[in-house]
Amino acid sequence: MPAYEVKITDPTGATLKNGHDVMTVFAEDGPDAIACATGQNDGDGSWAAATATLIGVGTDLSPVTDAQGKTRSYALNVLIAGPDTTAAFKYTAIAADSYADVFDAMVILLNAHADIAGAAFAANLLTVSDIGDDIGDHTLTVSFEFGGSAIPSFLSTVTHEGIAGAVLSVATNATVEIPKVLGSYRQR
Amino acid sequence: MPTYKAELPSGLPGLSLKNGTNVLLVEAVDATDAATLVQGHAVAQDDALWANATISELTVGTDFSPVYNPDTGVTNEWVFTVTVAGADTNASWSHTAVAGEDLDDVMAAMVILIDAHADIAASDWSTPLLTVAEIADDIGDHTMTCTVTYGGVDIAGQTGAIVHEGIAGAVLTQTYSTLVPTIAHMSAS
Repeated sequence: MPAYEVKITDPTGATLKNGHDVMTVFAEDGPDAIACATGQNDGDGSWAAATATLIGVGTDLSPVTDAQGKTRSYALNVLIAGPDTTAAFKYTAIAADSYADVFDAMVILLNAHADIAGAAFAANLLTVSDIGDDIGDHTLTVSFEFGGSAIPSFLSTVTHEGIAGAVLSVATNATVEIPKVLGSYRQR
Repeated sequence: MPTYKAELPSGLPGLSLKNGTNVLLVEAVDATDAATLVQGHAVAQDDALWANATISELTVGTDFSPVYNPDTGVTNEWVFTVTVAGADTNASWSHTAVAGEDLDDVMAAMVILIDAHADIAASDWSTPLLTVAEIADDIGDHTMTCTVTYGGVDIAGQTGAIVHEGIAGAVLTQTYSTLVPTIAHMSAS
């Protein structure tokens, strides 16, 4: 059952009970969500005229600007550390970047490094270096962050610290659903 | 992807909230991701308070228990009503869900009410279909109205396909949504 943000259209001049002018409602559809919000407030006409907005997951990794004008971005970080190669790569997602766009951009960054030729992304697997790059014994650290905070479930198994002639890789989240901050509120 | 509410602990001394915000709603794979996503949202504000936020999943209700609204001081109830109108039978039945009742409980109560009527021999509930009258009841040509209200307001999506106003020797039936609409969160924007 989807969730809707039901918000009074224009609370100016309205006497809000407990200051509340927004509800999150699970309902069949928008009209049902508004009806539930209205029922919650004894049939209050202000709520009958409210706007219902479907709360959905993100569809891309565009930077997010909040109501205060602060912009936060999704970014992919790759760090390789070892005796032969130590390098850090970061790609910050731009507007409309998909999940695959971010990893494809990272592949370009990786392959631009002198020690790496075989970076690739396919089937939920980012190959940071292949066998021919000969740095499979290095330590690989990968993070996918939002606003500088790593989101754990974006990435899973890391393959690294093996023999030199092995790949460095990280498995990515099989689902492409994108975490999203939906709204910020004042709870009384 | 589930929805989570991140809420700052109340009563923090010297708390200075940016824009008064103390609740964030986030979509995330799990609670751990929700917590880190909130941290990411807060970092750009240099606001470490959110590290102490309480993360709770917003979930759809599982029953039609009455819901107390602290804003109004009123307990809102779910009321299921079936009305049959026609040449032979005119009747209306209502059941107000009590605490813990799911749809099957509500409809079981409704079937008992309906069956007590002299013109109806065997109404029936088989999820998600309420059969109000059988062919043998011979009132299939009657008009039936089924509503589900919350706090006195009709929630249209709770009722689906209706079969009525056919021939006399037909059934009267109504389908219902098995899901429970839920007010998950109230706040100020």
